[in-house]
Amino acid sequence: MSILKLKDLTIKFGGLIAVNAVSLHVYEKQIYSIIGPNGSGKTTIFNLITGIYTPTSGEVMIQDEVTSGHRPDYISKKGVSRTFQNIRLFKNLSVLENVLIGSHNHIKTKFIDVLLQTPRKKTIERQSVERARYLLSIFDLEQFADQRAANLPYGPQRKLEIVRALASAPKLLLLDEPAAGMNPNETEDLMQLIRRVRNEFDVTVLLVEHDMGLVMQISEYITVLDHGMKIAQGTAAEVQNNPAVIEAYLGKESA
Amino acid sequence: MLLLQHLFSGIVLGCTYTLFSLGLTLIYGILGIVNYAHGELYMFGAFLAFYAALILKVNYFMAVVVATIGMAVLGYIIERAAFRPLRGYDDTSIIVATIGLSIFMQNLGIMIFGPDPVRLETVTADISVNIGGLTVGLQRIIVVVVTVALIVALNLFSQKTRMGKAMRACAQDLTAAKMMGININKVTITTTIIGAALAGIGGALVAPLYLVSPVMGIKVCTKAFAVVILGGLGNVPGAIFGGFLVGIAESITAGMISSHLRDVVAFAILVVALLFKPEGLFAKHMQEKV
Amino acid sequence: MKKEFLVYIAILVVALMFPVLVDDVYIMHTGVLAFIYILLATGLNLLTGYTGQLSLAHASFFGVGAYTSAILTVTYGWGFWPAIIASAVLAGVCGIFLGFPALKLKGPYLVMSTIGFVHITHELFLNWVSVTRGPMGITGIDFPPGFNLGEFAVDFSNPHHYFYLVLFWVVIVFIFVYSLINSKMGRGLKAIRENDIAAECLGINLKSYKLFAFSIGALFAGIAGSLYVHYIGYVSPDSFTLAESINILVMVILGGMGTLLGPIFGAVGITFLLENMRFLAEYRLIIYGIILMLIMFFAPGGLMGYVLKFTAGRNNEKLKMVQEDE
Repeated sequence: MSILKLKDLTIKFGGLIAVNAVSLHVYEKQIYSIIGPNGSGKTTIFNLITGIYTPTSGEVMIQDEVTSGHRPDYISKKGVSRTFQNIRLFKNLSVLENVLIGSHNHIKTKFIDVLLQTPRKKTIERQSVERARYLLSIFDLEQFADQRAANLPYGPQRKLEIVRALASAPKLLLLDEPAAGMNPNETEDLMQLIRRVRNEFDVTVLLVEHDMGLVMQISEYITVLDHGMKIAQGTAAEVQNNPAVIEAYLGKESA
Repeated sequence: MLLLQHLFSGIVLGCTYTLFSLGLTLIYGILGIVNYAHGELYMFGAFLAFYAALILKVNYFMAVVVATIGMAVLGYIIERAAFRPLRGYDDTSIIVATIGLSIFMQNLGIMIFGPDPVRLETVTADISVNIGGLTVGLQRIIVVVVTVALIVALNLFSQKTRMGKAMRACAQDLTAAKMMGININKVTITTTIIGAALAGIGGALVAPLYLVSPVMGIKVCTKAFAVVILGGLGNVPGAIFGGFLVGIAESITAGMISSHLRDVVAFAILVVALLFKPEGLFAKHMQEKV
Repeated sequence: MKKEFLVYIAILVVALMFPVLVDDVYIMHTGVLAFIYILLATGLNLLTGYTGQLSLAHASFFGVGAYTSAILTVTYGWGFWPAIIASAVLAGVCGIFLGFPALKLKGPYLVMSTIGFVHITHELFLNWVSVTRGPMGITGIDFPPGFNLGEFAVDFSNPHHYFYLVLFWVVIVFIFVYSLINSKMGRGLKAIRENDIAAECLGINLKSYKLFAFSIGALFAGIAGSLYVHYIGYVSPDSFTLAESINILVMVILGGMGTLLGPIFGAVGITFLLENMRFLAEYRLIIYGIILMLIMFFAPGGLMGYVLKFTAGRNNEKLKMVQEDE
């Protein structure tokens, strides 16, 4: 079953074509990577999928529904959640609150419940906190739960973004350079976590990453972009031996 | 003919808005500070010219020079004492701090100069010139000529001099400019001095035309906010265009429709413009980097 | 019982005792004004402190509420209670009216547009003479009707009695804001303040949340406006200028943005401070300006924020307590 389809997706900023007629197909529970040199349009594709940008032409389909043109909150409700390359945590809120906001759409308390302090509110609040703590524990962040998110070290901040995204119970999880700034041990750890999350929560993972070690080991399918265009796709082995890919990364002489 | 008369008044008004807004937009572009106290520089400039003429008995030209130099010095003091400590603060703190500065300076003005408005009497204010059937005061012509000259000078300064180039670099990217070895402190001081001096000249230029009072600055300041937003914050050509647009629209509306609407025009234009172009009329496509 | 409730109840008791302990009519008068400002500051805090939308248009909604009540009671002979409700609703609608263009704006652009808004409403009060009577203003606004509480006759022309009317509204507004902030809706507002793009990507509808904050903040200001004119007895355009907006913003900031008690302390503190600085005469505003700058330099989070920095984790404790409650 396909969860995400991009059809000839194109976006122009002024004269610059940031993404040029990219099509791809992501299946349920896949770990799928988009790679490419800097400025090749990877993050722009994430922004198009999540509705931050509206494509100039082409469309994004999530579970066979065209979602391009909708706002990000609508797309989030369709089961898409993401992390950001330049971390976007709710810095002055606690780690736990960050995760609770992640599960915003699943917390069904009404304003009146809070006004009257109903038992219903307490039950729901307790359940959400328990769930949030469980998610934090998977990523070994439980001890930070009551700290301000801004006080976390860099690595845990990246992980917290993933936890927050997971809290919305997504079907499709977009990770934008989750290993950036991590050391090899942390990256290895992260790779295990991504696999675990995929299996435990039945989530599809779409990854943008520069760490080739991580990408090649974890990805079941890879699309390579250069200057906004798809230049190759396939399994890790196929992509690694593709001359167009080597040329894009290393320049013409090396090819 | 009446329309032409209003148009000319609008251009004169536009000149004051432009001189004012240029400083505002430069300071925002480079220091990232919305200087709510800019109006007080304008007011002090006008009073300085007035008292230079009254006490020092200098001629009008020298009075303008005194006002300019005085405000440049004040600009230096403000940069060191107020703007530099605010570097890196969030928008809210900066705006409230400059509002505090504005309240302080405005009431200092009331204490020093008294609350009553005065008018700077000059020879130029009484002479009228007939241009093709249009009667215009000499002082108004001076305002236009000086403003145009200053815009040209500012342009030359930013294109030709080292400091001007450094300023443009800082406006683009402060961090990168710093890494290229540009002395940021020098640039911010120069910018504030230029901005303050422009406001001072503006004040001195209108002193013979309009009433000089401690609250004159705050009135122009809020309209100049509309101007710089209209032109896009930090955008110099935008501020010039916005200044003249608002000046002319205000003058024509007040003259042809109703003088009650005089003070609303700027904001009405602003609200309409913002509805369609939230980043100002001249902003390039500015999408926050996600 | 949660610790924070004890604090709220203690504050409420102090407020209830205030008219009993204070004889001086002038101090009582200042107290009434201070509590009207609590309503204003709390509304602005919801918008600026919790939702992160810096606005200097709050005096507009204060004015809309004041004029609505004045016009309905004086010109159309409405009673106080329907008039105050109408004031709240109309101010709330005006909040949405400002909220729409403000949706796309951020930072200095938003602030400057709200400054524009306050000028437009001021000009409207000043120039729409057939309705607002222009610069003359509207006079002869009655106090709300009194009633008998057993043996005791409540007379709202007495500031000691009027204080309780204002306090009644303050308590209602406080309970409302408390519930809101501790609901998921409150978390959504804070998320928008912290990072709007991330909030939107987590399913929070920016448009409806921001409009909600604009309208509720304005609605409280409408209530304040109505209470203000029925107390003062007249209304004129000059009460609702940018200076008033700045005043309210300063209360919120000094008290501590995004805290429940901040606006209360800010409003009471600033109102009494400004009244008590009257002996300074012409130096008063000069000193006020300097204080404002110094506080921004040294405690940009406001005085409450300054204190809270050293008692970290206030939000988290709340959540801990939710668990311990069970």
